[in-house]
Amino acid sequence: MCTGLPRTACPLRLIALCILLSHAAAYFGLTGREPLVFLPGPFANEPTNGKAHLKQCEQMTLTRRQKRLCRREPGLAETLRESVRLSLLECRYQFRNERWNCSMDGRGSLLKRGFKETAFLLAVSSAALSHALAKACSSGRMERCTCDDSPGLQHREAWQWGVCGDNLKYSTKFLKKFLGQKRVSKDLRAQIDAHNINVGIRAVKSGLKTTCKCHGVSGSCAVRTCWKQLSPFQDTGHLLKYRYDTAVRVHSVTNSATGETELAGPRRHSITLPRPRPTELVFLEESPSFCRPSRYSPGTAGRPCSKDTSCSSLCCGRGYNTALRLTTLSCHCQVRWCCHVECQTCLREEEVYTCKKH
Amino acid sequence: MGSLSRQAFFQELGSGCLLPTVQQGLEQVWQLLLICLVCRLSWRLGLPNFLKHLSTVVGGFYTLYLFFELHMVWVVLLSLLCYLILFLCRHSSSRGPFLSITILIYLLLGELHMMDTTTWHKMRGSQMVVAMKAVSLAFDLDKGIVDKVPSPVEFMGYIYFVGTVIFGPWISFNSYMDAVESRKLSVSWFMKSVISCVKSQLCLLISNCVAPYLFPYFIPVFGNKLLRKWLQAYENSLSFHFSNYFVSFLGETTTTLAGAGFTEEKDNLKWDMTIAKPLYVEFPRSMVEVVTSWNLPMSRWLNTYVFRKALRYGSFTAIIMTYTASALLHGLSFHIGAVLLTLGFITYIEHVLRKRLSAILNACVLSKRCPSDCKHRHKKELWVYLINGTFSMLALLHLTYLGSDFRPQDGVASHTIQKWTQLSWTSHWLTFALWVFYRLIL
Repeated sequence: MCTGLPRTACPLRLIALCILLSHAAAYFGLTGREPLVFLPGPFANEPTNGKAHLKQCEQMTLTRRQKRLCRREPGLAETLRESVRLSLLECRYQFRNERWNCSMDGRGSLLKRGFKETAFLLAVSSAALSHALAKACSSGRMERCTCDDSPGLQHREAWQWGVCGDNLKYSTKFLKKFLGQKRVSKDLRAQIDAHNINVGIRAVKSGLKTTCKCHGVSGSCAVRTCWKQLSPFQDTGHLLKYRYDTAVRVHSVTNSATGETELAGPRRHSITLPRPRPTELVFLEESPSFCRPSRYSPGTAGRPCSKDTSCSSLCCGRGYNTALRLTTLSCHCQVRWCCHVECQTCLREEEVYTCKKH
Repeated sequence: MGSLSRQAFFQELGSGCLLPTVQQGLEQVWQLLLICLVCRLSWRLGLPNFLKHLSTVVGGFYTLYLFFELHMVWVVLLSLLCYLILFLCRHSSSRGPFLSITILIYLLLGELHMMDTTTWHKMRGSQMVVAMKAVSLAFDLDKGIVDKVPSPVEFMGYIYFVGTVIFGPWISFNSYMDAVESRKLSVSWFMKSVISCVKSQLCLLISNCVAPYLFPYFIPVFGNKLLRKWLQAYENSLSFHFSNYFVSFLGETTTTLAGAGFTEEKDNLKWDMTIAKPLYVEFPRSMVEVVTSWNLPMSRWLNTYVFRKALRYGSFTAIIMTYTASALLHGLSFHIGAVLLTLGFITYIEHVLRKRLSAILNACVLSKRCPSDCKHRHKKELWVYLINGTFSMLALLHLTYLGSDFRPQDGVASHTIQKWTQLSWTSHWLTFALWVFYRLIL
């Protein structure tokens, strides 16, 4: 099929195809190839049917291998849906006052570049999936994962409110399998993506806390009951936003001993810093301004903002429009015995500020 | 947990709390229960007494090791020290006071010097039981209730009796010797063991899974900021109460299973050991009733070996000394000491006030329930019930206040002060007000 082309064209085309496939095949959710659908599926309210998850698997945009995994594990479809919802809501919340507000317009282009925003999308997606899988394990919606009942009289710690350590371990393993993450890759971009995905998983792990309660004569600790509790996903989102704000730009370095390409820290005063820490988000390129419409975002025109705090930065110096709006709110609330709250409705006039167009 | 709907909450509660709590509760104690049962059965084999004592020592050692691992040496050291003192003072008539002082010094040294707080905190219960057993034996020897110093194997059998070595309760030496005679296995014995075990697991569940979420999930009361503080204090208090009941019923289980804890009247044997009376604490008549119902054997011990001996210095001093002894047995914890001392004042003032009111009004408003043949004129009038009801409400308030800051690990002094400040030192002020009222009606 390459007979009509110059000799050099054929290998280039193969390389391009490989790159495209590797990108297209790798991810899911916010980092998946095609637009998201996170609304409840048509089967959401149907009684549980043995084959219902098969249809849900087909409806989602997944790779062939991902669909196979989805069909094999009945609870996975629901979990995937939940993780997409989690990551999208959290991303929009964390970036609500930023120029890039996690708009899905331009997401495809964004994912092809190595910006900080790309790093955040990868991390929040893997974190949400990790979180949702762990929850699904503990509530029994996933059949294959089990809590390891290893013996140990007083050191054994079981679970409460959703997560045992082993559930998180299982979900991490499954997650890497699902995302098709390979152990070793020489491609710089793949290394960066894998690193950022691990940052997301690690953020969920750091939120796993153990609490114990003592029981014994007069409150001594002869018997302890312990449990692990997963932090709310908002905490994880908050942590990842902090990681985003302190992300590190990296470049590639060829290890002279092994000949392999490795990540290295920012170049500063001709000194190369050591490789980034496992908890740091990494990126390759400086982000665009996101002020004007572009391939990556719709720009900030028309965005609501806060006059004193965010208009100046959000509007990129273009100024803002002022409008008046009537809003209703609850006021004079009282608790009625037993057991509801009664409120009156008040009208309030408030000013709304939006960024001017360029 | 406000973000969860009630339905979602109860679903999570089942899989996330009820099941693992029962699992852990049983997992940590099943070996103890098994050893108690084996000990009981082996005593029924007609062994000579020497071997019976020895078997419970072995069982006790193994159990201590199960729970405390190598830290059990501190409990062993304490018991060896006690026997040494008893032996050296075998011709003395003041073994009780002397042994008490020795044990006090040992516990203080242990608390302050010998090991880290967490480990000591863990064993505190067992140390307390050993100390109480040794002291009671010494005083009983002084009074001739026990006629001679027991042999080493008898003493160690008593101290390490597998039924009481971990979770208590204290039993007297004579009760232990009665148990060694080994009563017949019976349905009532078995049923008592099973029922106490079930009750203990039930209390553990309430402590872990119900009390911390009482409001608004179980009882839909929301409350404003002030009320919410008290509701949360009540939750903490209730959780601590039921943790105590768990241990108490577990102690009943192990003691009964091992063959002690019965009363015998003219060939009528009853397996009726009772350590705590939860209903009397949760729906109290008075703080005095709460205090005795919290741990009956300990209450009996304190009454016999501390309060009565201190009465010669006056009843107020006797009460304070009793609470001080109780605090010292619990170890050098500012928090427990503060709670117990406050409790001492509360109970004393309530007692004398109600006694005075009872005399003035000629009514049944004493701290303890009147027997049916008392000579008070007013017994069932509405205002009598109102007065008693008011004191019950006060007791509930005191319990909420005092129990509000028990934590899995004991905190520092400032935490207690901070918690009481949060609740505006309510119990302290109320107690002071009642004392003023009492002085006014003298």
